[in-house]
Amino acid sequence: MSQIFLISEREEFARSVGRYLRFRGVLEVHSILPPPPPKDSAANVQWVPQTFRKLAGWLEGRTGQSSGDSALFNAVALIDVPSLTSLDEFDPIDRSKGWQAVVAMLLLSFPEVHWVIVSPFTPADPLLRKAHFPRAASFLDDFEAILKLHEDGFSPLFDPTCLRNKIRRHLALRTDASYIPLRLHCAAAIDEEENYSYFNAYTAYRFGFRCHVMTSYGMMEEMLTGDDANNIELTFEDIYLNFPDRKKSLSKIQARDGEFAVLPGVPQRVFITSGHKLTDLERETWQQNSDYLKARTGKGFYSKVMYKPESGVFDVWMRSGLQDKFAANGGKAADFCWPPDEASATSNTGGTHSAPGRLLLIADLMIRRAARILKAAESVPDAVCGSLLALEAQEYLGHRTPTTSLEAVSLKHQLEVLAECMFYGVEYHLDTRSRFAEIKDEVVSIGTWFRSETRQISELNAEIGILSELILSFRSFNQFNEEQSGLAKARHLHRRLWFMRNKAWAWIFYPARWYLDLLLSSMAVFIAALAGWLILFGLMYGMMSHRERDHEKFHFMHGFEDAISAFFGMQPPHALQELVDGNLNAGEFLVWLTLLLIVMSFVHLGIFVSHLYSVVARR
Amino acid sequence: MKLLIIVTSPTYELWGMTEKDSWHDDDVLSETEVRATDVDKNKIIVLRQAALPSGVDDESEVRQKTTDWVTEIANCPKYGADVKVHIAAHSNYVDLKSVRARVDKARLTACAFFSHMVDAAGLDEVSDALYQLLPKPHYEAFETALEAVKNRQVVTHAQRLSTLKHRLAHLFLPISVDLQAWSGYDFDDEYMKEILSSYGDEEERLERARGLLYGDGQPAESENVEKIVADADLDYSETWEKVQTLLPRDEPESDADKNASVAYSEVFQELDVLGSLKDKTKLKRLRNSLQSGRNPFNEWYAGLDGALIELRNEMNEAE
Repeated sequence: MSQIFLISEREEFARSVGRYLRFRGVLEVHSILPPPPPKDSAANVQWVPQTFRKLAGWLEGRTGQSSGDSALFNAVALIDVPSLTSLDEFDPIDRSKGWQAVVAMLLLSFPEVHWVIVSPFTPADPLLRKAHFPRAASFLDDFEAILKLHEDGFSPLFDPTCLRNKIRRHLALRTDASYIPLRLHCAAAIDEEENYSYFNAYTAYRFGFRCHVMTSYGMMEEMLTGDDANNIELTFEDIYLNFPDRKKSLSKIQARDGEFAVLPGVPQRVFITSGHKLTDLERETWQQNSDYLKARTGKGFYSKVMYKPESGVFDVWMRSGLQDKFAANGGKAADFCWPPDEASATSNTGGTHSAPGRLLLIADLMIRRAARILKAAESVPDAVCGSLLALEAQEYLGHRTPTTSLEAVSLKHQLEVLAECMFYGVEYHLDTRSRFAEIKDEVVSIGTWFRSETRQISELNAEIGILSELILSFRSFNQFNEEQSGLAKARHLHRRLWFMRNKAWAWIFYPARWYLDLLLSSMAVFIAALAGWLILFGLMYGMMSHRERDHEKFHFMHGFEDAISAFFGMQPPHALQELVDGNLNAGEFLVWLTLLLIVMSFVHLGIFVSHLYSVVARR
Repeated sequence: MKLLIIVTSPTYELWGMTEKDSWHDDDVLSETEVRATDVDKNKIIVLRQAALPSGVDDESEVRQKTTDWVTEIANCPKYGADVKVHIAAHSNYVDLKSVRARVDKARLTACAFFSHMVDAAGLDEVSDALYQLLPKPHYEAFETALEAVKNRQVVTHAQRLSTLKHRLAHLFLPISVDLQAWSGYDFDDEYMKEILSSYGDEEERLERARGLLYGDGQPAESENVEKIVADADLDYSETWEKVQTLLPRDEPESDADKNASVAYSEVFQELDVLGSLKDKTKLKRLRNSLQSGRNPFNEWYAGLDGALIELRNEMNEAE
């Protein structure tokens, strides 16, 4: 464990815990005394954001000194909340609350920090208590259990204990924050490879599930056994689990299910494997697993085996069949409502049409941190953490503060692409179609908060801006095909934007621009277009005899020869006078047809060669 | 959905404010008039409190009847299963203790009294918010009113005790952590040095604890456990007696007193845990005692915390 933060108004308590932690081997223990709350509760309105800024700045400053923004990823923060009597008091925008509101803001702003809350409140939910709420009478034992959980790989990032979701649920009761989506269902990503585990957990989270990250046998024992085990509804599991602390082999799914009581009841399980079938033992294990999963399917459970490597978050969701499974809610977990519908944008919010100020403050901080992670991420979990910060910032804004929301959307996609590109477990080709479609949906959702007169232009500008950033990301990782499809999409958007801005005359040139964009959309389309023109001109030449011996008969082969020779030679197939003389009815027409062919060939071949060069040079 | 129930009398201006078009009659009760309006997805209900029959001075019947009505509205399923109820009641015309006992805890968020009377400082916070809200109900005024109710809410005895329990626990928590951790590290000498330097100026911890428990040396208006126990009519509770033996009001002098407070005497008199924290010789002596595998301080500490939790549970049940 690298560092622990202590936030307590009781100096003596912080000292004794700090002493214990230092002897326990924690490298860095940082401690701060929060400013005393105002005596007059009316002053909370100013005190809460000021104190939040101060503490958030302190947390960021401490991590900056050690190992950058992602250092918080491994941090535990112990925070004292002396008057907490219910989780409902963790309401960041309740003006009647002081310290509880500050703590709620911190809990939402730093989702990667494992928060340990010292308070008189003991939650009824055993998991929440075990992971976050040590009791005073058994403080050291409870705290030690929390640290053990942390060392076993517990990650609060995807809110497995529902702590952030409980705060969100309370927030969502307010009309001005009713857009905040809730994740009511829980998943687990089980893999000894941290990258897979975090990547799959993030995938589940972005599609509406809270998620456990399980990278050790100890963590599986802690979360998947016992009476207080979780209600997990989806798992991503590696088949050949080989944890460093494993007590038994877990490659046989039936044996695994016998070991961990929660797993057999999970209604949706996705198994991810490299598909080892080299030895007899592996083949036997494979057969047993197939039989067992078939039997489960017969009982109505959903199982799917996917092979590594994966291909990005959209692909994982699609190939696992979960997109279809949850088709009733647009491919997202049941009850997860995102993006906010248009109705919520137009409902009466008492005159305010932006996100509540304190949520904006939280989102701003998260966006700032995500942007720093984008520049400094060194691993897949770092990038995933950054993506989650941007994703949650977007959710807290509910698209109501359009400019900041667009920033969040852009960062989220850039960081997701970063995670995909950094991860060797993701194959070279990424699914850009789904990503671009989602960007469009999100921009349209944000667009409802733009002025209706300029909405379409603003949406196009926003989409182009986000795409441009993504194209740079693809380029920096040499993801050529993805970059090209991004460029094609950007050209399409630029053309639409140009047309909307110049409607009076742009329609004249619109077909030509459309055609050029179409040519550049892919090499196959370009070659098909070249072939199409050759066939068209071949047919035309063939239909119009232009040699003495043709005698007005149809000579496609000769017409085709002429078309090829004119197209690639950029000169008439015969002398112009011969063309005129060869066809008494359409002699002049043939000349103009030939000239058109030459111009077309000049334009097409010019673009084709330069496009081909850029493809060859980059690949 | 959030539901704000306002209890008032037709003799006051607040009731008159609900006679506008934006308000409608709600048929939730047949015995009295109820007016309602929606604020987005939330609801405000203004309940006309029971009338005092002419010639009757005893208001208890009025209070009882109004309390029953408020309870019925708060529990009414037509407002949804996940409704969050806030009650702003005309001072003393509703028995909030009874309401809290009879309304589902998950539904009831906060209850507060307000007064129609204007004193030198003006209207009270809740009244002020209601006078802003009722003439033209809108979302911001609604939220302000809910916040006012939460600010002025009548906290339960158990809630009051919870905060004090935490403060009391925190007085001794550092010692508990240090002694347990020190023994966990085989009574390491370095650790001992740090403990000694940390508690060098240790003083008045027990006095502060007694202040929280009995109010000793504290201003009369400050909160203490004994006061809450009295308010909750639990003066003769066995649990409260247990708390008193674990942390007696006065230092036990006689053998009888020491026997009555045996855990306290062992920790604070025989072992002198507090004195040991600033005296190396005493701390070494304490170490010998801890090496037996028993930690009397933690036993006492857990006992006191457990007794206070039990007391809080009794208060919850009584409420």
